Amino acid sequence: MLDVRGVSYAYDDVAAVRDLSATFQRTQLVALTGPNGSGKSTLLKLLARVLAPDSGSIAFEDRKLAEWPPKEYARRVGYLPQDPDPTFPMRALEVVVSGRAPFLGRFEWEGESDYEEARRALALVDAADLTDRYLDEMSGGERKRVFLARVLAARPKLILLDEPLASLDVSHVQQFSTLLRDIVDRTEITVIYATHDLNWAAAYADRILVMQRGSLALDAAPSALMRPDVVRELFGFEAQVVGGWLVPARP
Amino acid sequence: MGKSALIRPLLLLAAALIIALAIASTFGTTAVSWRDAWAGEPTARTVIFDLRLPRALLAALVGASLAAAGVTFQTLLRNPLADPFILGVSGGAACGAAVTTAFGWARIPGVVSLVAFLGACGATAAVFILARRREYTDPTRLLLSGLVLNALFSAIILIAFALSPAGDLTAALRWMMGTLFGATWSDVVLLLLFLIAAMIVLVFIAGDLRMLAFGEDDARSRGVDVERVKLIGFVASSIVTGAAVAVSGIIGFVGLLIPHLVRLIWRRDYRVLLPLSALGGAILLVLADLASRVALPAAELPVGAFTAILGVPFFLSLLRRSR
Amino acid sequence: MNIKRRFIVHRSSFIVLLAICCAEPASPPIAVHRIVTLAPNVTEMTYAVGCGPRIVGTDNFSDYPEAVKRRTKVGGVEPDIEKIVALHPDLVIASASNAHPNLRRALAAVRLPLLVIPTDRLADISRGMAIIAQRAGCPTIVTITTALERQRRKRSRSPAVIFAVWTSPLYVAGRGTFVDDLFSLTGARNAVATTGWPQYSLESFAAHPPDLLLYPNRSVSRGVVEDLLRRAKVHVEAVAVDENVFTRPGPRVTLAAAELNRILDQWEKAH
Repeated sequence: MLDVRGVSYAYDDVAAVRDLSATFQRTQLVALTGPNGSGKSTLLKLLARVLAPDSGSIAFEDRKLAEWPPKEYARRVGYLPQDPDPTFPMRALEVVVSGRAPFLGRFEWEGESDYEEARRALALVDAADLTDRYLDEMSGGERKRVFLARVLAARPKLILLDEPLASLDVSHVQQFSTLLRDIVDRTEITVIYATHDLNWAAAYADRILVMQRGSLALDAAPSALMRPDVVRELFGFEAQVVGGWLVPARP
Repeated sequence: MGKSALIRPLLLLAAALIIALAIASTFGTTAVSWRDAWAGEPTARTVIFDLRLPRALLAALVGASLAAAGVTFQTLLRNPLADPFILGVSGGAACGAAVTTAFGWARIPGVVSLVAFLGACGATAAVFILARRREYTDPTRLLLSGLVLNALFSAIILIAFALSPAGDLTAALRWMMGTLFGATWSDVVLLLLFLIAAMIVLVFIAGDLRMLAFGEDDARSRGVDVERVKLIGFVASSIVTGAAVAVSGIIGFVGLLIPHLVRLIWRRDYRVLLPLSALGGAILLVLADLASRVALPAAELPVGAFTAILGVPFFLSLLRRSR
Repeated sequence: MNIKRRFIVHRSSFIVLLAICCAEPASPPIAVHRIVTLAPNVTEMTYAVGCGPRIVGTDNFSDYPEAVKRRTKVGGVEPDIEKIVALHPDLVIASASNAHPNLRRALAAVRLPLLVIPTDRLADISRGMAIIAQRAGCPTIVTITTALERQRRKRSRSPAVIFAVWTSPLYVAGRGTFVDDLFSLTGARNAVATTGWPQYSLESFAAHPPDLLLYPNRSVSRGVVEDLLRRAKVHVEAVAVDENVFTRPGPRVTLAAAELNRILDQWEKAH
């Protein structure tokens, strides 16, 4: 579905993504991990058409990104940046229905069907009770769910989430990870999300991509990652697997 | 929902504006009646149709322009403290006015307005060019450039004023404080054309501006051509602000306060806020101008003082009543 | 028609249009029975040429002659156009040095004729009075040219004089003002070299103190002047002058010239 070939991007003179290639199929939960500055956000932005690659090509459904009309692409591919912050307070329903914008003409307003989709999306993320509440009255976890609903309101085929689990407490991390898993299983949407946490990624994702300094160091199933020798080589620290979880090895 | 959220408040504010215009045309420092004016009595006709009505209409147009520019800048810069003058428009306009006064050219009719307008546009262009880097205009750099240029303009203004002939100086200061003195029908027509042009442009990009409120990257991923929308939005807002300033000097508070007031009452996105802010700004300035004319029997007070006197208490009461 | 003729037709019609748009209609000589004046010196000038009784309204600051105090007041820097309209004047007269830039348009919008009189220099005053007299058809009672000439003096020693409008900061009358012209007329020297009404530096004042410091007797007090001299650490003879005639470029400027001569004669005697 999504074909990335030899893509590079540099901010001024600093290379963020170097010659990266990967293929993504439908109905996958893909975790994109790696240390800060490894290029995860940049890669997601390239896939979301927020940035254009300096070299290489990205093709979605066998068509180059540059050839997709922007709104058509936006209907199929949703993007959620880190820490979304709308400047002014809004109600959840208004936030979510704005996700339908790629379907509207320049002077068109949202109709009943769009509001239906918005409510449906809120239900999907288990946030129906938040519909009429204002964003600034919600907790971090609730806000993230509302923004996820916003991305889902367009019924995309692929969604790209930049660090959705960051700054969530543990119970919410589990909640959200389960939610993502649910979405992939139930609706056949492909989800690519960036995350710091290897363990949670490995526990839920179908596939893990590890980025280091702009390149892909690993692109495999979680089981291939959860091994001390791989961890030592990739991250340079000693680990052991305890009960399916990677734990630092105490000397 | 959606469009219907706009119709009711729009009609309400439009009605309020018409009432405000009627009140402003009825009251003044001389006692004339509408009946006399309709009957053709010359003094009444002149006072109502050649003095009060064009001035009230001009106040409405200036208020609408400043409020529309204000809500647009707040959305584009994603900064609730932005006002129409923040990108150097006021500094540029005032600088133009001050320099013409210093050279003694302020005595030639029309010169101050023209130079103020050119100064406003020039300042905005300078700010934009300063903040642009490789096809990208960073909102923070824009704000900083605007601040810095405004400071520079203030310095030039102070020097120009020190060198100005004393009598011209007073008139120039009153202009800078904001005044609708001497409003004529040709001013009304001119500003109306600017405002209509600006509103058409802003309505055209309103949908995109609304998406911009969620963040630039976010908007880009949804198919919005962010750089183009920012450029169009800035240019339209700056030009209409420059036109308003050329006609009436620098009237503060309207551009900053009205968008927040409207937001507090109706809590909607930019597509709704734009027309409602324009109407709200018009109403506030019509009433403020009326107050500035009739508050003291023997003198005309600066209208900028009354936009604050009228607007701020209303705003504070709303703020306290909301959550 | 061919290109050349088309061009000529276009060009000439453009010129005709330009002439029509920009030509001011020749003002037909209408009788002027009601006048509104917008500056104190203009009011006095209008009285001096005999049109005083025709004045129906003045600005807030006009107060001479006595009768003016009873006239309707129409405002200051931004006069109240409504009030002016309600007075039904045939002519409005303003001073060029404090007329609002929008005044002409504002009055044109209500079809009231405006006459603007420049009064920056001494010679402007007589000229201004003549213009008013001609425009309003006044029985020119007073001209000040002869009276002023009678005050002309040539002195063997020209004292350096400064006229201070304000002391903190120190605003003075420079070259090219009517006060400067008064100095030249009465044989004094203006110690200020810059034109206009500049802010004078205390340093210059202290380094090159004038022989005489003149100040308006109502706006500036003796104490403030002495404070200034103390700060500059100079000993300068300071004399208060009648504010009404020294700060208003109008017909009473002859009194200012006379007063100036008295002061200068006294100074010459003492030195």
